[in-house]
Amino acid sequence: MSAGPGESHAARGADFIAAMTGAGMERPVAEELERRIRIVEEDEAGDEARQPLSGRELGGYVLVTVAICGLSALAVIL
Amino acid sequence: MSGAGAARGTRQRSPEKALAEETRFGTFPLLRRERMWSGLDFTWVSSSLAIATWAFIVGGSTALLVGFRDGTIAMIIGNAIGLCFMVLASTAASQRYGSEQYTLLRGAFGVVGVGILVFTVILITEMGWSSLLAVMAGRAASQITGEVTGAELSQYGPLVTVCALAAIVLAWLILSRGPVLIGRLNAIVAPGLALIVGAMMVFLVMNTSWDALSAASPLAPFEDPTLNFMMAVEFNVGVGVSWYPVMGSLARMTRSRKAAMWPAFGGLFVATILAQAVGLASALTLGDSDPTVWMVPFGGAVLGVGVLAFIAFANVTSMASIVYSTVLAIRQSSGRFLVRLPWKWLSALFFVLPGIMAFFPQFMYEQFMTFVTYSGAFLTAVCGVALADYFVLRRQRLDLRELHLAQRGRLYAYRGGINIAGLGAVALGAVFYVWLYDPITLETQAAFAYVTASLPAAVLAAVAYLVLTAVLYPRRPRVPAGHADAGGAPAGRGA
Repeated sequence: MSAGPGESHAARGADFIAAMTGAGMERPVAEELERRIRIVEEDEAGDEARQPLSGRELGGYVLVTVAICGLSALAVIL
Repeated sequence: MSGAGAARGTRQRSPEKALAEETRFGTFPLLRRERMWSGLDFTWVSSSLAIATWAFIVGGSTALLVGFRDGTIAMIIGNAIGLCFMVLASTAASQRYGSEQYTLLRGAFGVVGVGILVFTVILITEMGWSSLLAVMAGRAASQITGEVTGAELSQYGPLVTVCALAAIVLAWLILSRGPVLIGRLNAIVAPGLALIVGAMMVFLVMNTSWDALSAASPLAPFEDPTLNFMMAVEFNVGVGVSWYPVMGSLARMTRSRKAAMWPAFGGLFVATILAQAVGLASALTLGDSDPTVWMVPFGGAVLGVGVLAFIAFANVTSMASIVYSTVLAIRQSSGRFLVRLPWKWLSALFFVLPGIMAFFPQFMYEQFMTFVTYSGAFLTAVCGVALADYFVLRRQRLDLRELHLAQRGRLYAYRGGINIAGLGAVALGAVFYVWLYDPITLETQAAFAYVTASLPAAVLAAVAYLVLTAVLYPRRPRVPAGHADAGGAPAGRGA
């Protein structure tokens, strides 16, 4: 029987803590780091703040800059 | 540093102390409840950084090439371009993952590669700005002393050096107390400086005239007016990009994408333009952009000295703010060497070079434009690579565990800890920049007059990074396992 997602995540977390402590990091620090990464990647993964920038957001942002530069260039020309 | 290699060198600490230190020094990704800044909060933070007194010198340097109207337009275009790609490169990933920017750059440069960048480009840039702030604080204090004692003191005399050194010591003391004190002081200094900048503009117009300001000729232009304008634009692009080393570490505190991107751009942009306009106007009408020179004659003894004292203090708090982020980056990128050093000693080490530069105040002022442009050459290339890596190669998907594992992981481990594609692309971009526009000889290629040097250098660095990555690491997975592109299930909206 294959391991479920929960078990696989737990195993990945355990491997991560083992690797970090093996590299000399204090265990409580490695555990806290793993706890936070798990929260970011699982518990808060659906949060609006954890989503990537959409094409629309990126486009709007770049367009504003282009507009500022374009209008300023126009002011120079005129 | 949370990287495995660095952790090896950590001394044995109590669990409580270890956790407290890691939390304080910003290694951990921040969680929802810890990300407290709204868009307004971050706008305020960005504005308080931008409105520091270095902006006067930038405005004054712009006045060397162009008059008030063209200078204002050059500042708007230059800062808009520089801030546009700097903000995207520094804040997008940091805001999403709540992690500081140098850990997130490990994919693009490798863990050792990030260290190389931090200890060269970032460190030199921030030391230069700190030196300038210290000298400016020293000049303000020297001016106050001259006014109080009635003595004739040189603008670059020994008292400036002594006061600059005192400013560095004060900044170090503030820095030693940590970010909370820095934040509290900035909350007082930023609104005060905003008021002072407004009052200075009124003083300038009252003591000269709007017509005189509009008609004033640039101080030391070249023969070609187009070249003058483009050089002024390029200089201001460099100023916009120069915020790169600190913005990612700040953006991770914000609650949302909108609270990070627009306030970083808008806060820096508006505040910078306002403060630079004062420097530009004063340089054109009075011949000196530095308010430490003209504030007492214009404002009178009491008001002038009061304003100068505030400026001197504002420079000290600005210094503490930028050095905090830089020392954080140094600590996290130093491997096993500096992680053993207490925070106080590490921040003291940072101030050694600015302390030496305080003995050469005239050099700092005269070489300011060259310094900004040269640091811009490298930072634009770094931004180009960071943008290509995060938005194109990784499609905004990073694996935090792998980033922290670094050389012990799979995704972001490179031979010797260096991603040759990243560092090579930065070198290529910087060389291309200097070929288009040499900040020392001021020689330019024909294309510079149409496209500046920063924008093509950033684009070249980005393209070179993508090509080199495809050639050097063709089989390496780009995104974490479990994402759609990696053959697994997608995670999150648009991820």
